[in-house]
Amino acid sequence: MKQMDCVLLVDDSLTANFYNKKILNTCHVTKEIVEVHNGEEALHFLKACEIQNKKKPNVIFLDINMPVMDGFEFLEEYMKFSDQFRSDILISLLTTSNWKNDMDKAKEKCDLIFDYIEKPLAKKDVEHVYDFYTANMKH
Amino acid sequence: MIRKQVFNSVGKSTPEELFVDIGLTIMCIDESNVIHFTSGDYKRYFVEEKKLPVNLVGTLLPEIEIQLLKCFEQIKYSDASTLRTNIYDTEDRKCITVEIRKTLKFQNKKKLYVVKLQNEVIATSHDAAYDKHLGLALNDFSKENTLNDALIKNENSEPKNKFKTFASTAGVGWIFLDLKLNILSCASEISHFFGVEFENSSKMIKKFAKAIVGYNIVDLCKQVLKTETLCVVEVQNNYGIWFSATIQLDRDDLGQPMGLLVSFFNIHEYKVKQLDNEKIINFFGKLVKNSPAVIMTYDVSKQQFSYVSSNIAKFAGYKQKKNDAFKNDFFESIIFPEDITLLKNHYQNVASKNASVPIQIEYRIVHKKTKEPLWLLATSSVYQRDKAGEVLSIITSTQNINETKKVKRELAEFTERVQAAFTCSRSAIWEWSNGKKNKAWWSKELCDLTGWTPEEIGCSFRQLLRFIHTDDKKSFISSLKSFTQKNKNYEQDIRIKTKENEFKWFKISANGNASSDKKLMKVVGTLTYIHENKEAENKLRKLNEELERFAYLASHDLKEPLNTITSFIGLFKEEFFDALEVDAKQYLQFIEEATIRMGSLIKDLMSYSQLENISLKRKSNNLNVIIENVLKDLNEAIQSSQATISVSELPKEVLCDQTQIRQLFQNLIANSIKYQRKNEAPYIEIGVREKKEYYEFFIKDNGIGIAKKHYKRIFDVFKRLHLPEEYEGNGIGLANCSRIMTNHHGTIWLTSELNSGTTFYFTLPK
Repeated sequence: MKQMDCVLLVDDSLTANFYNKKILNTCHVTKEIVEVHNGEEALHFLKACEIQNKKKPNVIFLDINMPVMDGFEFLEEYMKFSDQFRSDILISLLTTSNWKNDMDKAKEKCDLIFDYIEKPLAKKDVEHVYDFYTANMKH
Repeated sequence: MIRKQVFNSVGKSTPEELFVDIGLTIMCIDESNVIHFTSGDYKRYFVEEKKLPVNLVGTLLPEIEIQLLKCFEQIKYSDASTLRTNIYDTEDRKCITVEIRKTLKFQNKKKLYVVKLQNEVIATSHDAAYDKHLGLALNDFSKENTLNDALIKNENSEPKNKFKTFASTAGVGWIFLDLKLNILSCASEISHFFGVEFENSSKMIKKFAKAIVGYNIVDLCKQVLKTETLCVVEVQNNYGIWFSATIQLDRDDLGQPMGLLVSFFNIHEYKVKQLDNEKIINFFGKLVKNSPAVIMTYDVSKQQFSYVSSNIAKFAGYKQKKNDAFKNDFFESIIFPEDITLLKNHYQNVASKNASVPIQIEYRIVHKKTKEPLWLLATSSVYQRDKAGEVLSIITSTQNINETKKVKRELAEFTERVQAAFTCSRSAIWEWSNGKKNKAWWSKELCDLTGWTPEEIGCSFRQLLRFIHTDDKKSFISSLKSFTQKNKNYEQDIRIKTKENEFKWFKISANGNASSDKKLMKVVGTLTYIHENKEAENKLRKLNEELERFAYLASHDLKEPLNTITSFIGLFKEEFFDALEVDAKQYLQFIEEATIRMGSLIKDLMSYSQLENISLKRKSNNLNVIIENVLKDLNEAIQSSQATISVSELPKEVLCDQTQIRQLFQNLIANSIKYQRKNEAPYIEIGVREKKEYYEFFIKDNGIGIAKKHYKRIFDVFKRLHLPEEYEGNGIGLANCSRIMTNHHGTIWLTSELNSGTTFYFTLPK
């Protein structure tokens, strides 16, 4: 089974990240899991990848409610990356929020977002994004 | 003795009566004193009133007879054709003018004479002359002397009253006709009366007839010959002068008809007066009858009404009596008791002020049936005064002002109510009489509400603009403009500066006048003080927003730890479940179930808090598509319950929020599936009825039904009718449906029967 190179977890909750890592590990879909705690940290990580030409994450699980920079603010900034840079990254919103406004906002950004997942992360959600990645993304 | 007669010409209409009135008598006598014809006031001279006299001798009052026979003897043997003299009535101190004419006519070879007697009153100042003449007339047998003296006297005597003048100038003329209507003789006055020359021919009567207007005299003569009855008519000559014509059958000694006597008497002055009088009476009568006014006269000295026209009765609900006037006591009896003094004072006032300017007063009379007072308006002025100028009577024109008064009172009450309503609702009225001009009118309530004086507020929209908050000015101007152009109803909230330099909220609204002529468009509207409401509204909105935010945050923050619990229960089970003892497994099961339940509660709470009105996105939606999606979502539940769902064609274009309406259908259908009787497959029918202004949808099931007492309560949030063991649910679904309907200005209700099914209805505006 071919594994992805890297999955980026963006969540301020350490428990959530711990759990998500656990799930991802049980699924054996990625070689590496990077954990950051807000949008800003995620942005720094991606910028570092771009500059140092490091390996980009193939999938980002993004929480919405976070201190410093929330999920939507992150998406605003993320849009500023080149199309080429973004072309092989899938973003899944992973959030407790099912507030209508958040859903609507997410829909507005649907070209950036692959999936909208309600916590907790389930194995099938991971498999869904993995299947799509292996089927559609170039390696 | 001569019977006294009182002159009273009013009310007498025939010339015969007139003759009596003015004391005129005409007789036709032959040489032997036989009376052939008599008319007018003859009765006063005869002893026996009822019998028609036949001879002068023995039938006349003795003293008259003596004098008259003397005069008669005088002319018989004189060459003169006419004799004018006076005879006297000693008892009544009266003078009677006598005029005797010889005629050309003979009857039984006896010459006929016409005697005209004019009775008149002699004033006391002439007493001496009267006694003298009376003495002469009775005792002196010298014919010439008497005649001359009498003639002189007649010429010198002054008219004693208007009737005397009238009588002495009033001419009398006659014509004798034979049975074939040939004119036998004719008094000279006739040609003077009718402007025809007398000629002795058979055609004369026809020629003469042409000169008489009003009646054909020939026909009348024939009629008299035929019927042998007297005929009295009024005719005119070609110049319009009125005459009374009397046609009488002339008989010979044996009583056989031998001809006709036609006499004419000039009644012009009398007739003209009578006609004028009639005209006035007619006019006045019509005026009084047709006028809605009641005419009354008030006698000041007697302090009572001398005349009240009958239409007063009509006002008061009595039958209008035939005679035109009512008695004083009747009128006083219908006056509203409290107003009698008022009315009397009014008349005293008019009398004492003595002014010709009318004075008005309002008083009441009592209606016969309803016993309710009716308002009248009396306008009085002085009618008659005595020589000293003292007021004798007062004339009053009275109008029924009950309706006016009623309308006035109603209007006053209405105005008062409206005024009170405006004051209570803290509103002012404004009016814009001409849509094209800047000029406007504000009722004084605006001053009360803002503290500005009317001068400060001014009377134009431009001036009002100075007081409007800068943020509201632009929209105020533009919406007012579009209002005047589109002529639709208009309503806007604006802030107006008060005297205390504070901005207060007002609602300005107007109704467009449907007048097609835009130039004359009149706009009337209200300006209502809504500051407190507006502030409360703003506060409420903020609170609602906060509450929603709170509900969201609370549920979100609750969900976060719940997620962790759920997540790790999952992990725990996966990794350690098999190693657990039976009891531990059981405990974990309870924890997991509680967590799931808490999760669903929080989810529902969030969904309810998110159904706010502000985020409503109303678009045209095809409800058939929405239903299709709903059924897809519910597929699992439908399959497992073996439900049959029948959907009829739904409207393709309805303005609504897709998410919310979808949720509505989903909740209702899910409920219908969920609340099913045991061992019974759900049968659900979905349909619509199109109404004039809205669609009425229904969802009918064959489920357990809902008791009537719960019809309203089931729409309350977290209201559950069943134990969770029986039927799952948080009691949020129908509360959400109700909120969705409120957001869509629709209504939701149900009909149900226990153990046989429920039908939910809801409406969506077209």
